[in-house]
Amino acid sequence: MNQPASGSIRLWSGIGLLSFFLLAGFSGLGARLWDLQFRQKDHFEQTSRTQRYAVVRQSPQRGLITDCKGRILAASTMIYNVFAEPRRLLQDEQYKLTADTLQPILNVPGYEISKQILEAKNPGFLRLAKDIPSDQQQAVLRARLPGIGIEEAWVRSYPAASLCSHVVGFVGAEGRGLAGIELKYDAVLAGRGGQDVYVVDVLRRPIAAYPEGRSPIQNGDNLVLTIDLVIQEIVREALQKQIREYQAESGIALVMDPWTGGILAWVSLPDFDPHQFSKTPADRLKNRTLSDPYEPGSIFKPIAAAVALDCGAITKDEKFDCEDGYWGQYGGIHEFGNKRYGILNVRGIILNSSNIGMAKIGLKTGSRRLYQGLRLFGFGRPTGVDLAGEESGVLRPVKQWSGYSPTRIAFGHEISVTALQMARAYCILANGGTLVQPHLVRAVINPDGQITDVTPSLVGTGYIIKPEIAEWMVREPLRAVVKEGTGDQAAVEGIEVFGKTGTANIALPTGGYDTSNYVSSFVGGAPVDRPRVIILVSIRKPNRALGKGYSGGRVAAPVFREILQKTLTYLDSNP
Amino acid sequence: MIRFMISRARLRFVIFSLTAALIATTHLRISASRLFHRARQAQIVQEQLRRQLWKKQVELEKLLQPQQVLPHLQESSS
Repeated sequence: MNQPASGSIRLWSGIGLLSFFLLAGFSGLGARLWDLQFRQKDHFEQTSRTQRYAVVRQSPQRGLITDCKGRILAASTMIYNVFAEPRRLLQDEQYKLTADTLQPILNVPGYEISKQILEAKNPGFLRLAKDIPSDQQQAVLRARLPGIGIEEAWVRSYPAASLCSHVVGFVGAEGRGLAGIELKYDAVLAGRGGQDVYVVDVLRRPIAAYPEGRSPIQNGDNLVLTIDLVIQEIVREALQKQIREYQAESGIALVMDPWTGGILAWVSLPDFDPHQFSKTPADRLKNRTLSDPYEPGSIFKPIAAAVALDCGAITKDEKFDCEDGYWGQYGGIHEFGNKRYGILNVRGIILNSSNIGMAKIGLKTGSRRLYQGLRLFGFGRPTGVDLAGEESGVLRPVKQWSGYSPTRIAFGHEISVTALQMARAYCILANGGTLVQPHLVRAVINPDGQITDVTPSLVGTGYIIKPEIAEWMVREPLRAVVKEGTGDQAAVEGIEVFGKTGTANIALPTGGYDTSNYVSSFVGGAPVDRPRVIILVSIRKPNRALGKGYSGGRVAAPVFREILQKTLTYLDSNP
Repeated sequence: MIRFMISRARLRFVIFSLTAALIATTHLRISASRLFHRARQAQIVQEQLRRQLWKKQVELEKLLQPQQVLPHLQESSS
């Protein structure tokens, strides 16, 4: 009777033991399952994604910059570079085989490749060859060398090189704008990077697209400038020739459309090659048109006289005693060359460029009205042109003026202006007294070719001076300056030209003036009836020792004439 | 029981059909992947050619700059 009972106990204990092991086993499996499914979920998901998908990042193409006729000023092109991973090539002296293989492909001696790899400072990356042609690129890829790859890189090209360097500017190694339009419009030109995601096979070959991971690339917008490269070349050539002839320190020249404020040419010499900007001395990188305010001297007189006429302080026919070359009051004022003018009206004062006459006009206008008028012309504040680093010049508030100030400011002393402010002021005179906004960008065009932004023109939005005064100033005194005055060198046969010469002393930072050096200027336009262009030329420190002269009429006016003649011919044939 | 049993010939046909469908599916998937890969390669080549063309265009632009052309025009006119 005992035997069956003990057998049953053994059976049940065996079943119990088996159940325990089974339970323990399943519990273990369950725990592992939980571990894989929940605790390590992220890790495995990531590993799976990495194995399954390949992400191809795309850097955007920076926008194009063209002149007003569509000539390319700046463009980005893709280049292909060969790179190596030195730490990988140094294993088992693999670099020797690599150098042997690359030698005939890159046409570089093998020992040089080896040397570069051995002396590499960064063990992770070494650029072996830059901008290789496509056949070399294919050959490198076919060779399937471990530790060797091809990288893509955008490079910025400036086909016009130094011709337009101060306007266009340049980009740095990271592809960000560092100067000029490239800096000011960096956000517009840069674009936005994108990525494509692909499902890949075991050899990492893309076998399907994965649209969910895709973010579209947005190339940069393109800019069309108001600059005309042909006029730019005309201006640069004329200015450069004169700077060489007079051994001058520097020079600037601007050509503007007086009706829109569009800048057709902008030259600041010395200039630089934007491809080599990092090797260029800082002095050459300076955009003097914007960053070099100077005392304008006589070219300022028509502006002060226009302000006086506009506010009714004087009349056109009013006579002023311009003394005998020297006026002892208000600190003593000399005429240039101590010329004796006697009694002159406003036309005569501007025609002869009388300092004493202008001083008396300044006094009659009064500090407040003179200041307000000049502020309306835009002096003492940036013009807002679309370039970075614009100086505002100096027009001190009236409370800081001395009793002498109205007499000095009226003939262009005690005030500093930029060439752009000066050219804009003459645009206001030329277009009948309306405000214009100097600008360089004519339109922004997206990569699909649609215009997204057009620079607004301020023409007609407000009069700075009465139209009849602006017109009289251009038709009478300024035309007379060229016809019978100091600006005769600016005359062009068959065209009615107007303008004003200026020979200004250079203010010293320590106070007073440099009496041996001058800024020689000429600013004007043509034709008188409906001016098509305003041209400003300023040449700094022409060498007086040469004995060729140093006045604005002698140094700057011939440059003006050459620019005007060629520009009008060009504009007639290319409307 | 005999009524519900499929004949040997019918069983062979079913197995053959299933195998054929599997092979066809696999073939289609491989073909799709291969074609996608080739299309992608062609797309890259096209992009490279487009970039090369653009590069040539920029180089040409360099040669046609007024700075390069005007001196020649002046020489020929004088």
